[in-house]
Amino acid sequence: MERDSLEKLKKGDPAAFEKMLLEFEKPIFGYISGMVNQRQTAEDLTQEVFIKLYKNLKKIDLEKSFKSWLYKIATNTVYDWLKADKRRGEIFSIDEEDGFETIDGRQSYQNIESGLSLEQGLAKIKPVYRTVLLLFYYEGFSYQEISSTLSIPLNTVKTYLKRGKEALGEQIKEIK
Amino acid sequence: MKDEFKKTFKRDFPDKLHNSIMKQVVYLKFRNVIFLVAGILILNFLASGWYLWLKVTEINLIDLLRIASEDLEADSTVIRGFIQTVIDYMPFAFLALFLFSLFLVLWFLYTFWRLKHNDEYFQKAVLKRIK
Repeated sequence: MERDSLEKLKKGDPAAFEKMLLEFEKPIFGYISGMVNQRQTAEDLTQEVFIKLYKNLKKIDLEKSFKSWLYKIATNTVYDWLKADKRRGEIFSIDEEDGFETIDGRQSYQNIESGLSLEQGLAKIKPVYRTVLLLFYYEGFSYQEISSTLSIPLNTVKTYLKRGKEALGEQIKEIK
Repeated sequence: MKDEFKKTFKRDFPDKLHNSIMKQVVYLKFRNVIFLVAGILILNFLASGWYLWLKVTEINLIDLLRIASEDLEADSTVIRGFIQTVIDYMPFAFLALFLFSLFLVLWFLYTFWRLKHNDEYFQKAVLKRIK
């Protein structure tokens, strides 16, 4: 986002907020969906993230990355939800009734199968690995951006990414 | 791997989520003004209604109405007398104020209901104006 828009957003301008919302609502929803795997929960948490953001607009630091700050709010919101019911953090299975459908109906059976196993595998690994993998591969964040979003050192990001990939690989093997 | 992640987690964005977030944001932005206006309106409605009720009981308007309705053969003198009593004792400025505040309260409630349930109206009435 441009500095000018951020300044307006910081002042609580609803038009600037909507502009920001249009830019980030889809990626944030996608990110949260990957984290929680339940459509209704993902919708509720996405809404909660942006309302939290609105209530904390004055805390926007124009010198720092807005995107990292927003994803930090999203990550903390998801972690709070996971902590609220520990069971969700441990078992975290895909809810078949409330889960997601693939968008592209033309996907081949093999693609659907591999997509499902990736989804199921990701749901079974530690939330912190899931976070790092989603930020890196789905959101296209750099190591530095992940480090700043999660407030962890750069080397830890690399370690989490490596361990996350290994854990995901193991889970996918088990599923197959 | 990036492609696989993108393909797997590409989600259909819920239609109503954008408006739902904006509704809450707009509400939070104007909450104090909304409460103030609604408070003044309701207070005005209650105060003028209460004052009118006191006047109605003071001149026994209900009894007069009952008598007039029971007395089916009431001639024009009775009716004129009844109307004259109402004109003499009922404060019309308060009556107008009461009806006006009643209209505004109903309009306020209806508009809020519409803003909450009709996304198209919310877009037109609020979002287009704040841009």
